[in-house]
Amino acid sequence: MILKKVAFGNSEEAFVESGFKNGLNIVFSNDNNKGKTILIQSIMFSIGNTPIFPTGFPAAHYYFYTKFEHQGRVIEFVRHGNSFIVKEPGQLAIFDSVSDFKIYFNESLCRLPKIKKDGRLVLADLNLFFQVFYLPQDKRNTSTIINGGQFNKADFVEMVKSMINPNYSNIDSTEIQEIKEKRKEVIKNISLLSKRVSFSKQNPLVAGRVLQSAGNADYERQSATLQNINQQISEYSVKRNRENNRLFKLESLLNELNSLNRNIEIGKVKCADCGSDRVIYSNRDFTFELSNDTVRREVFSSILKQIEIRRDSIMEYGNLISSLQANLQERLSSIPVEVTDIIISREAVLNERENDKKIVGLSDQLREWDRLLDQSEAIDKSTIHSVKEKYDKIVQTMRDYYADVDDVENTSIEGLFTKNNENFSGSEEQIFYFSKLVSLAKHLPLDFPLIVDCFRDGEISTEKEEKMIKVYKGLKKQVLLTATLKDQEYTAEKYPPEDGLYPIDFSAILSNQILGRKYVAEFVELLREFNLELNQR
Amino acid sequence: MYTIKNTEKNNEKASEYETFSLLYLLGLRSDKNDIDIVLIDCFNDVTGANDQVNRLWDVQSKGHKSNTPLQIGRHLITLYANFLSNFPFSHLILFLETVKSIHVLDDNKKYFRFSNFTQTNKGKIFEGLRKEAEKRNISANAHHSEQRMFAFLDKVDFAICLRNKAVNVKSLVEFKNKELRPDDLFENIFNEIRDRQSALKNLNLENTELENPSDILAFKKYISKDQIITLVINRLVGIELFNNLSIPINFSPYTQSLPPEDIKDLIQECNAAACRTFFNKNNKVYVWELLECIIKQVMSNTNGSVDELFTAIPENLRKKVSTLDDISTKFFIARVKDGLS
Repeated sequence: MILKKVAFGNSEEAFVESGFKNGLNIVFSNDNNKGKTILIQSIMFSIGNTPIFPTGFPAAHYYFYTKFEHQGRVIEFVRHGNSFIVKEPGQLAIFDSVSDFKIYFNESLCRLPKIKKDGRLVLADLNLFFQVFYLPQDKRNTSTIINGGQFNKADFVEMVKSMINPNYSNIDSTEIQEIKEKRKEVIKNISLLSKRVSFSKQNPLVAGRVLQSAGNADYERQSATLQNINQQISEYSVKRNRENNRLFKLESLLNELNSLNRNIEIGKVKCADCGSDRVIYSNRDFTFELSNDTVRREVFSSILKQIEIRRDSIMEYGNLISSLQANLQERLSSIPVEVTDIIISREAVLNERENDKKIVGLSDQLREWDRLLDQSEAIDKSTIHSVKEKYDKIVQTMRDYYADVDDVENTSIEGLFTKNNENFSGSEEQIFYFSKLVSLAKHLPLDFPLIVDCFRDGEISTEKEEKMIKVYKGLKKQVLLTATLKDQEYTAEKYPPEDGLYPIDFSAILSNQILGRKYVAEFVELLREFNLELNQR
Repeated sequence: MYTIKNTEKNNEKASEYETFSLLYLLGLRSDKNDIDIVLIDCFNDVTGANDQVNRLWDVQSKGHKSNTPLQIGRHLITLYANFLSNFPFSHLILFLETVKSIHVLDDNKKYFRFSNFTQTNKGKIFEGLRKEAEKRNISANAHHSEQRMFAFLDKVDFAICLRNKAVNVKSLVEFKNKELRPDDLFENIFNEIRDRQSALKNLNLENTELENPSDILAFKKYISKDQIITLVINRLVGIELFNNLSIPINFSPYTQSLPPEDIKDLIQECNAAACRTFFNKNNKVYVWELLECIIKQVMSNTNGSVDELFTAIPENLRKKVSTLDDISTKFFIARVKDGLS
């Protein structure tokens, strides 16, 4: 992103600066209170930073505008309070909060690094992120981050590492955590199912054979034949059972009918006078008998014949079954013991086979997850390793720059921050921040200008300043610095325009009066492009 | 007005002749379908009648080994008396064991009229009847005259007994495979009918006066044709039980969807149920009522399906025969339907 223009103000007063070039821009003035810091703060505020405006600057009254060129497209921002409007060719996007804007920023401008915060993976705050390329004038502290809020310097380090390799932040992420949880569940299920597969446990060899037998052509063929015989045996057994049942019923029917017959005899009436059994009733319901001797005789003989037939067919089925069983035995003896095992145990094992299948499925799942975890662990290891290397390199580069500018190696520099009780100040602080920002700019893929408000504060020597400027120029990217020049420096034209260095002189601005009527019309026009109508007085 | 006279007690042979007479009426006569009941020892030995009792087939049976024409004339006396009454005796039948060939013109005829007798014998028959009429004081009857006697004789059907019990019983109903059944089955049936007749004969109606012919029904001294047919069919179906394990064609809707083994079981169960029903002595009346109803349905609705016939049977009739469940009843219906078709 190349900064092209900054503007801020309202319908009464405004300021517009559009002299920024893709190179080293130095905004300077011969005195303080000319508005350099307001300018820098305005830039950062317009793209979502938490502002540190100088006291007495009523930022809430103003609109802040910036224009950037980003990958060939022009993007313009307007912020008022916590509302943002982003204008890209053909579209306007409006956001009512910093967090909404942050989402837009992450999705449309620049992927924000993710860092783990309280066990959760979160997007770095803009405020934190901007400190990778931006240094404000106030609230500096080399031992920590500026305006940290919920974040601390450890988060900053994590963020930098995440910028080195985005996978770094994914390490041990929720996803992996979920896999680990599921893995535990699967292991539990497998052990539950395994307990059920008792046959397999007791007869592991046989069960193994059975389970491996699926798809074995020889087994399938042998099995089909044997199953067929078994099938026939079972069919014949069913038939025999049913014939047995019929036989039983016929025999009991015969008994029943016999007893009915006997009942008749018991109930037979004889004439008391002559002993004749031909006693005549005068009962009007007198009827024929329901059966006569012939019928009864025939029925009995038919039933007896049926009983004979049943017995015959029971015997016949018995013979068939025996011969099939003999056949089966013969076949079984000619079959390898393994196959016999399989056939005999098939039912038992197959009942457990479903469980076994489930176990196999779960085991496959488990293996896959183990592989994923191993893989991610391996990746993690290598990632952690490579990130650490790169990070160490950043720190080393930082040390190198520091040593180069200060002529002395500072052994206190252990990382991107100084120790808690070692807050650098004066020129040390200046050089520290310089080294840090330059090193980060060199090693990280940052598509933002490097912005340092008051880059030579703290009585830094001219020699050191020149070294720094040389390095800034050598970054081959847009750099925006501010500086307050001493009178003799200013008179001597400290920063003459040259190739790659673009001075912007704020000296003409009256103290504390950066905003004025001069730019109002232009500013109002700028905002009109955002459909913002400021009421001019 | 009719006064019952001449009822008689007789021996076994005479009883048999009366049974032959009954079977002649119900099985051998060409107009047998018009006869619905046979009255036993009411107007004569046996008298056929329609349901309304406005047509009567009066039979005098004489089981004598031989009959002279004079004797034949005497045998006709009850028929003549009935002829003279105002009751509707449409047919007057003399049922004889035999007629000597020398007495008739055509001795091949088993059923003939008075005209088949030779001229001489006609006179002797007339003479025998005349003498008997005098003896029995029938000549005092206002309707009696020689002309009436001749008119009577011209009206009488003479029938020679077919003395084969089985053939007589078989003539009652057409039923599949009946010819395959042993003769003693039919002889048994004959004897059963005979015994039933004898039993009915024991109800004495002598000198009872009737206003109308149908008054006779109140005495229950009759056997209905339905009872006889039902008896025969019952015996014919009964004898097939467990002998004929084929599925009646009309029963096939109930077996179509069943596996063969289930069909075997079902048929056995149906046979067993029929056996229990036919062997059960304690529920005869209701079983006969049910069987009669079933057979009537089957015979009157020849195109009806087993289901239709089954539903046509009053439920209270079916419920009174607990030994026949629904499916067994349907099996019985199908068996009867198959047998009669």
